[in-house]
Amino acid sequence: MKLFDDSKSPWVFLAPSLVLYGLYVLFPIVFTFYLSVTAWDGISSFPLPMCITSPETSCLSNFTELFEAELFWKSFTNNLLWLVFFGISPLFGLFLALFFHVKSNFASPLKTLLFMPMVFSLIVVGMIWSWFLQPGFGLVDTVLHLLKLLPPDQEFGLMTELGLAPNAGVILAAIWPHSAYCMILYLAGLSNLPKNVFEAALIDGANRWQLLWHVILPMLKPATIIVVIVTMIGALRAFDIVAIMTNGGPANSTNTLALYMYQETFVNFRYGYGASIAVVLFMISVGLILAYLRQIKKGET
Amino acid sequence: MEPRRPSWLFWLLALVLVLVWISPILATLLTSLKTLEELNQGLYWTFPKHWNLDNYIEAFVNGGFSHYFINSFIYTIPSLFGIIALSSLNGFVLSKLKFKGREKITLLFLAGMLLPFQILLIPVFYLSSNILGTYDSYLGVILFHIAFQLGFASFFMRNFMKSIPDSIIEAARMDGCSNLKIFYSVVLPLMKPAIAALSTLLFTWIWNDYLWALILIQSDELKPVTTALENLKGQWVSSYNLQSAGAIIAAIPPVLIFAFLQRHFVKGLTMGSGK
Amino acid sequence: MSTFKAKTWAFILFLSSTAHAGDLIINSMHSDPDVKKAFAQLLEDFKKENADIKVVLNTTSHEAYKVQIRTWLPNKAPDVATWFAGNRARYFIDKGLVEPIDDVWTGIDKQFSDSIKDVVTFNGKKYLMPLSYYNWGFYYRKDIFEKIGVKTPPKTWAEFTTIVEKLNKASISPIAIGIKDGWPAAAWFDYLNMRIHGYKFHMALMAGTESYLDPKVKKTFEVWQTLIKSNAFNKSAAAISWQEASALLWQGKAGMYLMGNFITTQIPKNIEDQIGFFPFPTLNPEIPNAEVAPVDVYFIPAKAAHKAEAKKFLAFLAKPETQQKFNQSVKLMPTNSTSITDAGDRFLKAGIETLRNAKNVSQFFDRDADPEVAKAGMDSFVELMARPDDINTIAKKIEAVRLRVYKK
Repeated sequence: MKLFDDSKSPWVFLAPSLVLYGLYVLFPIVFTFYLSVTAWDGISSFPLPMCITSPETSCLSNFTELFEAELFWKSFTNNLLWLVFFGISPLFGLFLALFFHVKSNFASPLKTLLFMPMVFSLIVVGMIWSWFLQPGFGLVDTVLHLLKLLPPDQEFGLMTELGLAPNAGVILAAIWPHSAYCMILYLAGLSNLPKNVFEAALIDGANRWQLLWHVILPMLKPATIIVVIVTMIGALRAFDIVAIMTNGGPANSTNTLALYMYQETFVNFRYGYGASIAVVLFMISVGLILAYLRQIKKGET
Repeated sequence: MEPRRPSWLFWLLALVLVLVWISPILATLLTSLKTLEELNQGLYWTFPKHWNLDNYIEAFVNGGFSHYFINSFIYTIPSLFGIIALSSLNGFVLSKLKFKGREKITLLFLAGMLLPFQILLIPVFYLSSNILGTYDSYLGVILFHIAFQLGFASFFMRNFMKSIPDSIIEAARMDGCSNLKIFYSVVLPLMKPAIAALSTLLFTWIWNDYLWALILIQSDELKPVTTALENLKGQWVSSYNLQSAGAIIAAIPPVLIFAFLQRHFVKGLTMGSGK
Repeated sequence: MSTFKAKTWAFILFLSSTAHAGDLIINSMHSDPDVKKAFAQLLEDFKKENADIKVVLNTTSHEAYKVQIRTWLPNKAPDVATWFAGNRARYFIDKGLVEPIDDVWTGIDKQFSDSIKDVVTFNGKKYLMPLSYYNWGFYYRKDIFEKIGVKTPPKTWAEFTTIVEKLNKASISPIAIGIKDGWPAAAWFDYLNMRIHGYKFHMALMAGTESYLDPKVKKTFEVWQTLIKSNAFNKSAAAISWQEASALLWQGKAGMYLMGNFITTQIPKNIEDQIGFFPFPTLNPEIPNAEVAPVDVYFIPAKAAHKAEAKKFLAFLAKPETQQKFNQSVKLMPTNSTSITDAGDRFLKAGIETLRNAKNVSQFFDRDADPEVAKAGMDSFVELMARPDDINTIAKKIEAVRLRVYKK
């Protein structure tokens, strides 16, 4: 077993993963960076950078155009809204995980039901919430009319407005399955915790809140780090549910950077420009995640 | 962490909470039992006039579920095993072995999660079709899923393995165990809850994938179950009732997986290092 | 251990095998159950004549197909593919990805009308084989029109706006519309622009040679704006889909609906007799009527492996019997004018009548215009319908995109 000699073994263990990961993920990412300085349409053969094909154009002209585009800033603002409000889901997830962490055989079926939102593909989730919020026929309207909170001839116009309002509906729909996701991560984290710590804390006379705040949460930190990261990424990459519920509309009011990128790339046939949006989004994500990880490290030392 | 013993108040609250939580699913269930005529009259939030399972039968047949179900299993199971095997190894290496470049590799795995992945569609297509030659085959999709989920899965494993006390590893090393042995006889058994949780998530994602199958598969013969759902969504006719029925059929396997695996989330308790 | 190894290898081999090859692979985007069934029947009939050709059909839903085609068309193309006529086809043709099929067309081109031939011909060559098309127009509630004292459907704009007023007085939404997806709004732009300024100007605008800042376009927007401001459309249009809007008509909450004929397959049985059809009214008596009539076509990718078989198939598609049988079962119109259309369906009959009276047909805003301009246009139309105040800004937005696209 020379191969697994301990000084080499980390790399031997990592090798198969790195090959696959390099091929399917890293190479396409590098390639995307390259495409962002081209004017590729996504269908012709791969082009040279713009500044080489036409010397009067700058190689960064996709980026200059992007930063001048009204739609970019609109989508960016919406992503910020996502970051803030989608960020509620970890709290829901933690609450559900703690609440249902009980000793009983009947808790399992309930947990399975809680997990259901995550099982449905986002296509279906988007569809369901669209019906809920549909002006005129939707459940929200039906209930408001029944309770006489809304005159019968009026409609609940949340999703009709041109502005920030319709984002509320879309983000709400996204929180639902994402909370279930966070719940699973926390459930896994909870079962990893040693129980003697609690006994010790309880013997010391800690109450439930102190226990939660000073014992459980710090010990759930590995789970929390993952939850926070996937939530940030989820908010920054918000795509499916927007595409299904509003397709970015009305008139781009709910557009996000990922959807904007998709539309430019696959509807408008501007792969190069789309790649530049992806690169910007990538940079924003890297910045945020690194800042978060640094914060964590600081807390540790 | 030791679960508490629930009281009757807990059950009451739990029931209400769960009902509210799954009300959108209940709405889907109701819709799936209605006729299109009923829906066209705007009767969305009422009980169906006639209870019948016609939509389920029609969805199953029209969507071609029986065939696509098999395909989805062929994609999901090998991908799942591949990811779990590789990512638990990676997690172990990145959390418990000290070597130069460890942080960088961790960040590399993290970075893969940060790009809006739709932009990778065409490069991945080119790779699969013009370089690897795995286009339009099961293997092409499986390899892709393994590679694509490795970033998250490795990061997940690394984070959970960090909570294993180093003393256990050191003790095993003192006993003369090689890294490989430490990995599968010491670390892996402790990781059961994390693996169960990760498997549930991965199963759900791969099972629900539509976009990548769309790009990596052309033949109807090889398409996954999400295709069946798409098939039920016509260009002109939107039969919400059929789509709802189809959605529920397609959701059954992941729900069963969760129901089965979630016991292991909790089982980890008795195996946990606190024992 | 060795049998385990063998089994593993066999499994990997199985996983890496590709689908069974055929002699004629067809990729289709027509995933609606009815259409799929009718197309399967068409393939059966084709196989009867060509027993030696093994046909494989791959169907992908409409929206997904539009993305997918961009991967396989330049690389691993099937032998026949479905697509749209108009600018969307031109895009691929200009890139050399579509095989010209003039040889298939020789001898049969007299069987097709000029307006149809027009949309399959690019730079003097024929590239596409049309199978079906459908008309657009107003579907309305006869019972509601009767109730407000309207006996005949409107022929002129004045008659039309009078009905809008009357419906409003009766507290019924005059016109249903759902523009969650932008295209139903684009139908309004197409029709208003063609009715006011004629087919020629409209197509020049679509081709990018006329400006959106032209006073003519402004006029079109003004007519539309006046209509919107007179409360002609239902509330919350921006948040509902076109299907949800059609429910307004079925439920009697709206009086009429500008839509394509495909909507007639969805009319609930209990109100079938209450639904009537009329063509978009005349706005300018000097302008000959043009209609929106999108044509669905089939083509052979330049990279196809079995071109001879594919041409046989397209020749089969062109036949009057094929067109007749297929279209009758899906309630669309055959493009071959020698097909005998059984007008048993009154909507189909009205549609054929409408198109016969039309001097020209356009393909629809998002099929005629450049994709980027179309997207900007549809976003702007939605904005206009939600906030009908600022025509100039809306026109400027579209113009900015047009200028960028066509300066290339």
